[in-house]
Amino acid sequence: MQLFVDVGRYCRLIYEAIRSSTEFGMYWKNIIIEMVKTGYDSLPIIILAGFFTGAVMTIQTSYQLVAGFIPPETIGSIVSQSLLIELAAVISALVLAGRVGARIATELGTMAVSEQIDALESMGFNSVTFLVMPRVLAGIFMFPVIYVAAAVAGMSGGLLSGYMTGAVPVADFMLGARQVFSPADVSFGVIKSFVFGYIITSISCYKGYFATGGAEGVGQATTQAAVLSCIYILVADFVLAFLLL
Amino acid sequence: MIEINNLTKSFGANLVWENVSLTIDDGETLAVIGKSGSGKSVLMKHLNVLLYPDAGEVLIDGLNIFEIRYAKLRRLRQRFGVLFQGAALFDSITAYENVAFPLRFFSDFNEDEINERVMESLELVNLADIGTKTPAELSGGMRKRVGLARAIVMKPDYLLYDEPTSGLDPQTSDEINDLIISMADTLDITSIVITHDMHSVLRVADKVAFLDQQKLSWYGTVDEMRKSDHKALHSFIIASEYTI
Amino acid sequence: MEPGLKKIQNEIKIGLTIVIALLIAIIGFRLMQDVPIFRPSLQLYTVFDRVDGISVGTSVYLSGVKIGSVNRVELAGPDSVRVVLNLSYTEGIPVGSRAYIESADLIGGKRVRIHHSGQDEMLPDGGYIEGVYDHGAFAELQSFAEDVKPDIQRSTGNLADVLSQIDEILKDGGKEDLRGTIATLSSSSRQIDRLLQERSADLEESIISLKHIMQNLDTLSTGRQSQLDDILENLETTSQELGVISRELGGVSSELHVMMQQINSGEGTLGRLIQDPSLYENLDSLAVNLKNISRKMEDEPGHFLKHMRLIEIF
Ligand SMILES: Nc1ncnc2c1ncn2[C@@H]1O[C@H](COP(=O)(O)OP(=O)(O)OP(=O)(O)O)[C@@H](O)[C@H]1O
Ligand SMILES: [Mg+2]
Repeated sequence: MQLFVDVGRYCRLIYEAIRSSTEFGMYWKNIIIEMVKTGYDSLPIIILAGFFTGAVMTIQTSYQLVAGFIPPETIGSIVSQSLLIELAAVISALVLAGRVGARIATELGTMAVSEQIDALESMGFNSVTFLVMPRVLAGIFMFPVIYVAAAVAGMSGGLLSGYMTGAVPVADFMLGARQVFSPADVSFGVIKSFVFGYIITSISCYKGYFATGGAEGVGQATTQAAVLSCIYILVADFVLAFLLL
Repeated sequence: MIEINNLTKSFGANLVWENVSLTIDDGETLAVIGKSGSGKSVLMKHLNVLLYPDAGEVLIDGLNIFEIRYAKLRRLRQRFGVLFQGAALFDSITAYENVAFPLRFFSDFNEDEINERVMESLELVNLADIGTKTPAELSGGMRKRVGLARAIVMKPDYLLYDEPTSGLDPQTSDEINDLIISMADTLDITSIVITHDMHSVLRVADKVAFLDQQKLSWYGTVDEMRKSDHKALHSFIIASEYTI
Repeated sequence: MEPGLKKIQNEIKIGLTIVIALLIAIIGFRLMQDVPIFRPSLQLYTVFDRVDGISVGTSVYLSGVKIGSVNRVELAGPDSVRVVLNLSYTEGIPVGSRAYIESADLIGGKRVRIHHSGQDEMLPDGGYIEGVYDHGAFAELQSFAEDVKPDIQRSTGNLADVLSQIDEILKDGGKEDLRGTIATLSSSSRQIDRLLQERSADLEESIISLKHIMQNLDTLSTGRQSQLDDILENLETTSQELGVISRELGGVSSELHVMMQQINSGEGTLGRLIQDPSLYENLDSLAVNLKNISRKMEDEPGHFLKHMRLIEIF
């Protein structure tokens, strides 16, 4: 029962956000601010996460592929393709479900319980358009950027750890990576990142916007936003893999 | 003119009040009094459709505000200035920007004109010097006054004050009461003032609405209130007089 | 901070972030597709009938130097594969050049080799370069052997017939006959004439077949050929036909000799050629016959007069 209420209210929220999007110009500044918070400010953690993902993957793959006749470039192939198709998008989304999702849910939740959303509405704003739209748009626009950052950081991490540990020479890694490189994989990753950006921001907006019950309610909304985002990221990842691969 | 006809509101099984009917003429000031939890804030939020009733209607100049389309509603809301109980300042921007906020989006003033209007409003609430502070750096009373400055900055037709003087010292309270009176008199603004403060009721109000027992328990002019022998109202007035 | 300034700063931040991300993405793309990042690159396409062992990323070589890689491989039809090459060779690839798919190593790794035509006119970007699937030295020999095997079999069969007949005539006719024959040979004897006339059809067929083989083999030592020519020219008493036969025989036998040597010394490249027992038997009997003739000639040197050097050929 609660599920239907949730789905209904969620759809209503998204519908509202889109409905007044003609006032786009009015909220341009908000979009920029949200892009900074969602994209720009997340870059350090994303680069870090991507770098170590690539580095660890290289070491682990070379550890797992012990058979002597497997050429080292195979490791480059495995690491780069996994990064581009799956890990760069999913790892960064899971990291940002915590970082971005929690921030959005807290922001909107605090605004909801302290009547700031009421204040916006009473001034004549469409609070959904004003608050939800920029955040969701920023997510959709910035997640591909985050994907690029994570992918490049991951590849660098893989190259560097392969070189430092002697597991895979740089040239072999690149040869392997090039052999399996296909623009389709990258577009698949970019599509994923669009979807993940949308999922994280819209779910967090929903949870925050409808938060009730003071500080505790905000805390609950934040936790639920992060957890639900992670769950739906994994579900969407599966569905996309099923549909697109 | 605001007409409230047979308004009923409940949250789930929790009835707030039922069959509330009253009329507020233009330029008039209505004080809404009642115990904590009697539904004063809820009533106020119906006047600019932040909440929808279960039954009844609110007519503003004859227009049922619960039936108009959202775009029109937004224009209607801009005719209201609202001071929320907790001030509801946007805590990510400074006090100055809070006051300037509606101007930036709903006026075509340039930066100088905006500055002029903002400073004017802040001076009215005696806060001309706190512009660069964020809401978190202000005291509760200061926040309330910034909220008031924000409510009047667009020069609305209606002003809704949710406990404008609670948490203020008597001197500032009096200044706020003077402000409410001057807004009503000089600008011919219709005001609804929610308050526990009988002192300010007697100073600013033309009419008084007393919410009690999940209904509009008593409704009349201030003079009528003075003479009334309504028991609950009487004991409410006496009780609040102790708190002053 | 001035609100206007902060707003501008935010926009700069976002603008820069997106532009840099795009740049990095483009650079990454070019890196991964092995396109030079800052230099303009040349893209050529070619069509092979098959591309076993070629995939995206396979290196492209010119004179043994890596100049690019395969960018795309797509099926253009059941028997044609379109391959796009990204080259960073700024000098350009001239018109008439060819792209070969060849073995890069022993275990079946492949690479693309560009053969520079040396012409002046250069292929334009996006241009077409002819593609040749190089089956490798061994595979080439194999297919060649496949082609010439029937010819060789037939020719050597015929030749063996003829030779054994000659041999029989020489042998069965006794010394007298042989002498007579050889006398005829030395002075354009009627017997040889008759033999030639009788067998001319067979011979001609053999010769034609042999010529065909020679053309195919095309590896006849020129040194020996001229030697042979000299000898044959000196065979004043031999008929023109015999001269031709001798020359052809000489060619064949020397060829066979070389083959035998190679086979015996275990050089495997011709292995396929001799794996067929019948072929080998034919060659063998041919060789035996030829050796017999040569032995007889050796036995009767007088009759070969000053043409003794013919023996060297065998
Ligand atoms: N959004 C809401 N959801 C559910 N119940 C609510 C909501 N808002 C108010 N209520 C309930 O309605 C009743 C009236 O609340 P309201 O805030 O109007 O009281 P009030 O008269 O303003 O009290 P106070 O003087 O303390 O501000 C309370 O019982 C409250 O629990
Ligand atoms: Mg209240």
